[in-house]
Amino acid sequence: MGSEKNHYQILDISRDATQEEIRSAYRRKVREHHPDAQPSLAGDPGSFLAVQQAFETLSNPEKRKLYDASLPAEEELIQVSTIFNRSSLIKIKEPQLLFILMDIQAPPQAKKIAPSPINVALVLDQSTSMKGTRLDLVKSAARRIVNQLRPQDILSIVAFSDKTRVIQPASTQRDFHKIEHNIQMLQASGGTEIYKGLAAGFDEVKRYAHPKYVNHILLLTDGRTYGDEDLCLNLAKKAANLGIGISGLGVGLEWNDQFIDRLVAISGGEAIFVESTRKIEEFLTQKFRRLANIYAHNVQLTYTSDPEVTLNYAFRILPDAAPVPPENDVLRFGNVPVDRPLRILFEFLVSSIPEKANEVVLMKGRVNLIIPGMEQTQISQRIELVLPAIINPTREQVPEDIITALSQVTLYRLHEKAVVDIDNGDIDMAVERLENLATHLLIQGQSELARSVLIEAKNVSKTHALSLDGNKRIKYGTRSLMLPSQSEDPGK
Amino acid sequence: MIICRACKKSQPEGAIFCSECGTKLTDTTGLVTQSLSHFLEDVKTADIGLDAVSAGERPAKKRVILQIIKTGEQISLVGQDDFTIGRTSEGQSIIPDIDLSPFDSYQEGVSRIHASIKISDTEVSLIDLSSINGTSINDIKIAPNQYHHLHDGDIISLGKFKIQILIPA
Repeated sequence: MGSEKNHYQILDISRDATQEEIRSAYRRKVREHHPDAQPSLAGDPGSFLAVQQAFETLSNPEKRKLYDASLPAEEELIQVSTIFNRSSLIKIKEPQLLFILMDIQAPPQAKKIAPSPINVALVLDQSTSMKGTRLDLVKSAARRIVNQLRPQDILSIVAFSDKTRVIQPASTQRDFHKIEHNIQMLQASGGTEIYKGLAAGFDEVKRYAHPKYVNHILLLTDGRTYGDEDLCLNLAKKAANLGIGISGLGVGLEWNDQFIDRLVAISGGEAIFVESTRKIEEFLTQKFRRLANIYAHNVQLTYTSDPEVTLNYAFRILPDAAPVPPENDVLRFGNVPVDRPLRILFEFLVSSIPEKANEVVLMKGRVNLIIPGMEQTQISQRIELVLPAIINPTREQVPEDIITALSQVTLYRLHEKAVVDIDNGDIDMAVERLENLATHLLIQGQSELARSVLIEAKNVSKTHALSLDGNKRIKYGTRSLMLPSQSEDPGK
Repeated sequence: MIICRACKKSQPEGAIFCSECGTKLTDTTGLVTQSLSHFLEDVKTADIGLDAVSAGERPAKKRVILQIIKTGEQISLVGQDDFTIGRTSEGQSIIPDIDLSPFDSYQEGVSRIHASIKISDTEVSLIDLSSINGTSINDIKIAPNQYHHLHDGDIISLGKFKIQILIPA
């Protein structure tokens, strides 16, 4: 009902909108509603008047205050909190670093809301290399997932090699015997053409891709795809814009981790390394449990910064660990689980601060996300990360959470840098970095991982390259250090 | 600008960890114990897992005693699989499991985090953690960052600081 909408809803803006945002929303709405521009709406002069009225009230701070007081208090739907490593920047000419830890989490009352239904396409690699135990375990995992679904969930299953077959089309209707039979009939043969599988999975998810669902494509593969990488990445962009996430499970050693990392990062999805075939079932069912336990999805941050500020990197630490590459000043963070925060570590480089400036805008923008369980699913919250610039700041203790997060991200990045060193032909530097990494891991008590790193260091000095397994073990091993220990995994 | 004391590379103002070698740059305390308690927890859960599979069939873990040659004092290594050895000084953020600073270890050339001893069911091994003055077993210098087996009665030198390893059967 139009008459029940408040001024903010009429202009399609959030309650914390700035004056600038109100003005631009008004201009947009006027264009949409103006009878001259849109003759089809000419019969509804009411909506145009409502826009006028909303703008008149909200653009006047006095009137807006009064109006806000008359509205029922807005329920807090998402909590965004930040910690800085210090409370001010130093006013110096040389560049300086600044760290921010941001938590985005569900409010406490969220636990009472029924978990959102999922709309997931399971895209399974059935190429020749999956033959034997691997495919058997995938089959048994798929059966278990089908049995664990809630009535409102939507599941589709696609099997691909160099051909693609939809085993189960997206639907809430499930004929268990038929699915069971179709899964049983899966046979490994042919090559790995990931794009075909992804495209079929995308078509299935798209049919029900509504904000009320957690929409996701889950790709399981053990191989490399050749030549269709760009098609896959474009599809991932299309999916992300429709609110469909993509995650990948890589089994064994042959899969292309760099490609899967890039593929899933586009939508803020998760890349999971399944080193041992025996763990396929465990990882796959765990991933489904996490998808079924999501409060908000499609979390993105759009931002601007002062010209002297560069975002060196953003790294997601919870609920899973992965770098978040910025694209056109948009960061896609993925999902907020019901029971733990989404946590991001930012590193900013602030170059010479202008003489006159008294403060620096590190980030100004909005966190946008979708909460499937809410009536109004699109939520937007303004954020402003601004610090004063002072000539002689006092020394401050760095908050422990930041140190802990940084100590782990630093280890991950040592491996990342070693990979770059090798690409640049700087083998000695790469070996030195890996040895340093091993030492830090040993100090932290991670002797198994440290041993893998040392073996790799030797490998690199001999062969001038990382081995397939060593590279993945170190990359995903250092990432997993950031996560709370497995025993804390709820529902285990 | 900050110069990393470990690798001597320069880091921007405000850096907390060296991006080149991973060493912590500031002297704020706090992090250290996190790794140890975390580790102990892992050991515990690992134990439970194993016990459930084969209760009582596990060989007992090797018992290792460090005897400081100079003073004859003995330090028993129990409760963990891995012990870092070194010394402490003021403002140091990472503290070794076995602290040798009461034995004038600084004068003898022991690094803050010098070496680590790993104890498994079947063997005891030593790794030098890129210390400044190096580590020897029975007067033979060992390469850093690699595990070397230890036997009952071996004498290890951290710099000039000598310790005898006792592994009672």
